[in-house]
Amino acid sequence: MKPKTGEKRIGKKTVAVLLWLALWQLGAMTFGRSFVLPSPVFTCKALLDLLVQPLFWRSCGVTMLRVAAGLALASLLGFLGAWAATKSSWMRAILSVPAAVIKSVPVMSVILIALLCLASSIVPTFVCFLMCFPVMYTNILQGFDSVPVEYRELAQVYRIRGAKYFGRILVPASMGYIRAGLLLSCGLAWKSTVAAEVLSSPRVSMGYHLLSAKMYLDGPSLFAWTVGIVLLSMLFEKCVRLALRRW
Amino acid sequence: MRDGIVLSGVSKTYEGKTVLQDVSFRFEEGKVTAIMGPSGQGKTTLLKILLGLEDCEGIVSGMEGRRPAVVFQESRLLPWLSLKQNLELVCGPGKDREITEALALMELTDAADKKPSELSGGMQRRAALARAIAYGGDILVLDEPFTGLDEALKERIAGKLAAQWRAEKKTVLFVTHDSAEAKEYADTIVKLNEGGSL
Repeated sequence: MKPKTGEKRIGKKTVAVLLWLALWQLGAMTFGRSFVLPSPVFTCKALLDLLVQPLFWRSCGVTMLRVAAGLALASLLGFLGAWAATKSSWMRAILSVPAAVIKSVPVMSVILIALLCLASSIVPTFVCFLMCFPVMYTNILQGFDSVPVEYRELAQVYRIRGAKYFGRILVPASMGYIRAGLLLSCGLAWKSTVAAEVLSSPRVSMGYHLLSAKMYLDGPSLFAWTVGIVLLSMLFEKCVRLALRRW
Repeated sequence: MRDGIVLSGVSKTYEGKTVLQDVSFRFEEGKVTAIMGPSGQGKTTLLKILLGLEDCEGIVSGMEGRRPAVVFQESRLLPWLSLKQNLELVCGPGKDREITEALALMELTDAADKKPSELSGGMQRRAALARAIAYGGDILVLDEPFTGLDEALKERIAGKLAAQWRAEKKTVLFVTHDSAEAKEYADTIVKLNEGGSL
């Protein structure tokens, strides 16, 4: 019996992952210094050690909450901003400035500026929001702009307005753009939140433990926390994809 | 009683091409008017001008404050909503009876929960008609409403609709290519000539 397409894809993915793990192992063996480049086995052991610590799970939970809060805020304000921009060319011009500027400001600058004026526990969420907002706003606005004229005319003649127009026509018709914006923002949200946690170092955070591991030259821990972040980020994106599938 | 819809010297030009030229006409209140003419002579543009979807030179009066129920040239059903939800969206709350009756009239009761992509072209057309009927505006504006329906179905449905329009003294404007259809269902037939004049 021939394998199905889905099975084939999973098989190829597994082979690809194993290939990269083998390369990592080879690199670690060649380098020979586990505190700089630990092997996958060392990293796995360190990760297993972390898994039994309650602090690990608390840090994961708090970081994930920060990511979710920042992304949710960016999405909400992205929606409101795009809605306002479709209603008024003035709002479109006003919002286009921060959207363009934030896109090109380095994350590190944003974090350092935020640290000057905000409490360290708020900085990661704020930075996540600020980094994701332009992506969400731009994508949602593009989606709203691309709603076919046929639907706009339908809404006009049948007087479908306000929240009804927004919820039943505008958002569903823009869903492709909104979906793309959210998935793009997922990765960005994790990267910017963890980077902000590293610099602002709130006690309960994955970023703080990354920094600690680096300071104590604990390579396996550093890699284990990184693997944890990658896995959580992937899980988070999977959840977002599942939620989007309901639309 | 309203005075009908009056067009005075209506002209429309698209990128240098004249689509309608100095059209003046009165669409009578409570009558069914068929608009005929060759393809590309501005029939759809005329309907869009009446609906306020296109601007024009000249004067259109008698559409102010009306609630038009429209069937566009394409069915324009929202693909993410079921057929019933498409009707509910335009009708608003408390119109369950009108929706059920319109679906029954268009012989679509069994398809109420289906998405437009699950319907045939003819069924989508009937769904667009059902939407306009359920909405129940004070004027019906229909752009080739029976296109895509097979002959037997067309006769059955158009016959029922025309009887209803006459009984209710409804103001109806419909575009058609079919002169037999126009003669059978319309009280007045207007023809757009080449060059966009009436």
